[in-house]
Amino acid sequence: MNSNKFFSIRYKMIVLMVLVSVIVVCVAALLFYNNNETILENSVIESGQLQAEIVGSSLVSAIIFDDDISASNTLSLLSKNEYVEYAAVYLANGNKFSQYHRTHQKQHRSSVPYYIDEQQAILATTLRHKVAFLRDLHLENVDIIRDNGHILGYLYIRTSLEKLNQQRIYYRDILSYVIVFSIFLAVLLSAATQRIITRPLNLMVGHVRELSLSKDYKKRLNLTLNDELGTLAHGFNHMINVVEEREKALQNQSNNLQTIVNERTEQLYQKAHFDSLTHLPNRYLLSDRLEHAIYGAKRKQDGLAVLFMDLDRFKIINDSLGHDVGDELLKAVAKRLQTIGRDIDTVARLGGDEFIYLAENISKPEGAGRIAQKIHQAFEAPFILHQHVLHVSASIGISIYPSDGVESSQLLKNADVSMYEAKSQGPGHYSFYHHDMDATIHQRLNIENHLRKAVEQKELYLVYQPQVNIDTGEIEKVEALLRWNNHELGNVSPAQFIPVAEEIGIINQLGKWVIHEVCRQKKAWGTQDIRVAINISSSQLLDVDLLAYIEDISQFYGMELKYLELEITEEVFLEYSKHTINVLTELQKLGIKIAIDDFGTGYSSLRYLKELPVDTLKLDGMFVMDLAENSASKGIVSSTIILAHSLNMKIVAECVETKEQLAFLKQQNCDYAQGFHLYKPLSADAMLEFL
Amino acid sequence: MAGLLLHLTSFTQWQKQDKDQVILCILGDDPFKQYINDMVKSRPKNRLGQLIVVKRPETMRNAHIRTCNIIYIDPEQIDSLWSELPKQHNILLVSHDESFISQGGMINFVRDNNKVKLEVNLPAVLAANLKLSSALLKHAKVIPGTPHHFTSEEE
Repeated sequence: MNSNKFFSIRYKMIVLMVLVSVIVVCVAALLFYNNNETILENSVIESGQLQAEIVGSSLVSAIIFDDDISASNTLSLLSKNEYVEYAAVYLANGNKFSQYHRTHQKQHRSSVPYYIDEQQAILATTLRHKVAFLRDLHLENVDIIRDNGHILGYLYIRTSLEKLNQQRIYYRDILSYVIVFSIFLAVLLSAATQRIITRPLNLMVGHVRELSLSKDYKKRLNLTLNDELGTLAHGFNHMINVVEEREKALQNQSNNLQTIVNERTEQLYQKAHFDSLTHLPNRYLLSDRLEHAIYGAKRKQDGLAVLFMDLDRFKIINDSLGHDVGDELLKAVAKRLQTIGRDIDTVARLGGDEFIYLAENISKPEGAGRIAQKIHQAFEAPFILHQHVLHVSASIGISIYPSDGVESSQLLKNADVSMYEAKSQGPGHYSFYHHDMDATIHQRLNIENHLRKAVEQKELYLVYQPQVNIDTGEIEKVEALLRWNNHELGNVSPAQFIPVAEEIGIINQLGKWVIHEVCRQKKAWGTQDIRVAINISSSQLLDVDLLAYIEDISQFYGMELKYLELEITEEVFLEYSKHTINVLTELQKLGIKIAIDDFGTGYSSLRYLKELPVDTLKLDGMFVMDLAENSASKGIVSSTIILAHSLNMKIVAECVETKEQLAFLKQQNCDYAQGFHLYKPLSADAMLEFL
Repeated sequence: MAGLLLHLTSFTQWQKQDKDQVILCILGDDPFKQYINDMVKSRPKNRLGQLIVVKRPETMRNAHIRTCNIIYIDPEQIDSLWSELPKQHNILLVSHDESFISQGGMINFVRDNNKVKLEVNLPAVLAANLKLSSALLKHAKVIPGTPHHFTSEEE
């Protein structure tokens, strides 16, 4: 700042004021000096003229009387004026009459060229006028001496200008002093008075500097001036007001934005770490928790368990009842899972219908088993959603740290694998991981991958197992059985691939293919008076397309629907709803027969039998096979036959493998029999023989 | 000498005098001749603004003389002047003769070094009730003299 001192307004003002003062003083002094010099010169000239006139007039008589001595005396009166150096009287004809000069300066004067030569006797005609010449060092006056209007002669006087020049010098000195003093005064005064301007300016500058350093916009300039600086200060304060308001507004805005950002961050965190539907921790947060739990378990030399849950038949519910119901179910499931847990445990949703229960401080597998049982208990009560009563179970796979893995991904994978094992045992089971499962799960994945392309690759085919009227021994209908021959896997049994198809959601696709194939085959067989039974999964029954599809296809192949029988399993009872009844009723109206497959093994409920539109019961083969050894089975078989008949239904016995069994069934008035003792499943071509 | 004679009119005050003119009478042999006439013709008035009248009376009779203010007398005729001049008069008497002052003349021209100087007989001037300018006196040589003694015969 100091380097800018000389560029500061303070110094500029001082310099400016001094400069102006100097110029004004100099101009004034010059004018004054010039004026004074002129006055002085004029006065010198005038006094010279006057002196010449006076002396001239007193010379008149001397000239008249030709008295040169008297004239000389008169001229010598000029010696009283110490500055007169030379004087001479010339007659009218120009001849010198008398002269006077200061003797001691004679030499010096005569050397000056342009003055009258003192030796010269005649006055030049050019000088015979009344004139005054102001030379550098001398004043020359010529006066005409007259008498009664006639020129008597001329008086020439040369006066030294020493006095004038001295006065000039005196005045110059005075003026120099005045100028110097004025400058001095101007410096002092301007240094003092510039404060009037610069003090408020410096205040402002200081304020601005302080502002820029502190960023504190609360302070105001305290300046009350009536001039432009006052206006500037006021404007400045106003500006600061505006800045402060802006600052506040910006601060508020920034705070608001920060709040929004915080909210959004929280939301993003939620979104990133929690499942939006169930608000359970998601896969990422679970990974974190699992890692953390593993770390803790490692430190405490403790164990933990990962329970991998998958809802059984969730896809069926989702597809048949809609996603809304599916979502509601997931929420409800999440709620129930949370209620069973211990505080330290984590319930997470991996996606879809897969949940993880992370149980910490588990030292023995039994602990994990207890939790699995608790989960199953939680699913015992049906879920009531949108007027649907849903019986849902979960398959649970369990992996234990550290025995089943020490890394989170490994634990999760193994729990997943064991879950598939549990699933293969049927709904509502749990299973501990065993390393043998790896092969099983590999096989399952293989099946899954090939199964997706099975329809497209034309690897599926149907075989037909005849059902025989026990009374007549005739084949009245055949059951279409789905078979899969894969180029890599070979023949895969339906028990293996049907659950997989259900799990991966292509069961309806397979079902439709079966319906299509049956219709086509029925047409290929010709107009044989034979019924074809098709197995329909419960999810297929819930497919809204089913009815229309069957109508379209049967119409396309010109098949009468009275030749079609749909076999449903007891699972249908689980999704027992008005919709199911409606669909079945509609199907029945079309002439399609409805049969219940594997009757007596599942959740058989006599109430359902009463209400559902069922034409036929298929007695589970287990009872038929037990007939020889188990008298209880005999009871069940005979009473079931009576039950069917009393409900006005036909009954089919499966898995009839001996003639004793057939004989018993015939004795008990069973309507139809199906089994290896009668016919094995036959290909469509082979079937033709028997038709 | 003629110029000087004319200048005298400017430096003299008469007791009883016509304010407008000065009469200069030249008696006797006239040394100025036509020259003085020319001068007057060219400058008819003196410094005081009076008209200069030059007269040359042939006879020196009383009556004539009394009208003159200045008389220049030919030195040859000085004697006759005395005889014609009244005892009490108011006339400036001028001549050019060594003895003129001693006889009671008032102003005499003297030649000195090629210059003409004046000699003044102040008692004679005062006696005639005339006043001469100090400026004239400054340049003149004042000779101690007396007024003219008139003899009885002359009376």
